[in-house]
Amino acid sequence: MCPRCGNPGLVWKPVSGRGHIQTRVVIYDSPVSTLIPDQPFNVATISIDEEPDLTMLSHLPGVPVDKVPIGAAVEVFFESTPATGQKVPEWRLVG
Amino acid sequence: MAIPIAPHAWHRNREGVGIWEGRGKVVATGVGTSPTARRWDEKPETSMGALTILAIRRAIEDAGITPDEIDGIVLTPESTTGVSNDPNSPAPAGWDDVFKMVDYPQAGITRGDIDWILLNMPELKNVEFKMNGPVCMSVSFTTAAEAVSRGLTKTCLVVRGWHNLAGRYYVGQGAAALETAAGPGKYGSIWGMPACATTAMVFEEYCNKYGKRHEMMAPFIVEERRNGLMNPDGYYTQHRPEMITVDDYLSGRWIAKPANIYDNDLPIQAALAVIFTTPELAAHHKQKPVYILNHAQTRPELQGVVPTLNEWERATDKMGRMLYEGAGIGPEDVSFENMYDGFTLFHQFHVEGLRFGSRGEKRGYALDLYQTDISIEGPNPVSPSGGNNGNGRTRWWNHRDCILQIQGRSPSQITRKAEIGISGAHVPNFCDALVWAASAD
Repeated sequence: MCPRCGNPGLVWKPVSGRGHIQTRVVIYDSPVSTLIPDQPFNVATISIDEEPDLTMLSHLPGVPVDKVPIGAAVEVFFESTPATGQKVPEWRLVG
Repeated sequence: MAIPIAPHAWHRNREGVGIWEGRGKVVATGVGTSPTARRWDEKPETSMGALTILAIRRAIEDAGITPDEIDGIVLTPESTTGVSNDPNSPAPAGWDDVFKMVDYPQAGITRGDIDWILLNMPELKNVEFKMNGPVCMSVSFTTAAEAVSRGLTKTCLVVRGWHNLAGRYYVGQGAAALETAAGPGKYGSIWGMPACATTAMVFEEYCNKYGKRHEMMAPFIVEERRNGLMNPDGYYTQHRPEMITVDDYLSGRWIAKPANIYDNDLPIQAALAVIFTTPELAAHHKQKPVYILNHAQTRPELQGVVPTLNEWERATDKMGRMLYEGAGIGPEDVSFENMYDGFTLFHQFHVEGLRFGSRGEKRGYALDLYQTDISIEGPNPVSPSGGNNGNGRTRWWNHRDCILQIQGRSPSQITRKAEIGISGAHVPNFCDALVWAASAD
């Protein structure tokens, strides 16, 4: 069900895998034990191009902290977690 | 029998429904606040439950009534927002020497429980109405307001206790200590964000949109601490009575930049109880009745894993419109605001939704307002309670202060006449708020 309008007819649709960086924070005090050694690190929200109010999160691998280009175009790729190999969507700058 | 929560039909969560049917039929009178502590020392007599009992007795005494006049309780069972004991953990040794126990072993320790209170407060012998206001005491306040206005209880306690155990609130606790994430948490927790990070993200978006900066928060942070330090019941007054400065704030260590340590509220142990009743019965209460003119609710309409600036602005705009419509007032009638501040970086969303202190601006003005006189002596008292930031994390200092301000006995009493105040909690898109007034007229 859509949490905004209550429409129960939600369906899965493929998207392009492209979006834009909407906002960001730099994490200095993570609660997650396995991520503490990586501090400080970025977490950004990615606005999906097809549905700008639909957001996903990313560590923006390779982008230095405090250098996150707000509004920049990004594309999805998938990383595997070290513990289980689970695929996780991540995002990188385009161009 | 399980204690019910407020029916969804009681929510006032849409516009166009007119003046609240309960307007002028419910008042607050007595207020009881427990002492505070940073953490529980694991003694029964300083437990969250013990503090709750103390707060209730103080509220009854403050109202100048007898316990047998209480015929209802609305309580928020959750007593932390951090990681806590397993719900089935046994009570510590010696607990049952002090308190009678219900089936739930953590009752009174890490969870509030109406039946536990009644078992341990035999003087509350006439309570027939029992209802839980989950998640936040603001839910209990709005629930109790509806219950009294509907005649389901005549003299009702509104109650919430908070516990804080040893150890860091979130860091490396519970699921955060694991190497894997499962369940719904896998969509959010794997990114490693502390609790304030979501707010910091939306605040950053706000600053980018309106050309504001984190340092513009400093006057608000300092003023809140000043207000809190006037409160003899607050944590900082009782345990860390040092004022903070703009420089302290600007040099605070980052938690999730742009949120620093001062943008995060300090978890504490404390409890509050408030008496709600009818205007007629309040005539023999000791304290001046404070009328509830309206209440309203917003709930998340999330499309992603975190809220956006659009969503928070939409939600708080709607809250402002709903509150004013149901109360029959406008922003110009509001003497002060006590919206939630834990985390500090979302307070301005609430302020702007109410158009508090606006000179015609709709959005993007609150951080400029913070650069003006927002003190209790000034024309636009912002968060005169000091909120969580000035008193410790409870989510109820703001509500409590609305009652005390209008009764004219707040420790941080505003200079302008306190006729109408608004309080609400918690986050901008999940908020229950009330309009409090000196009169129903």
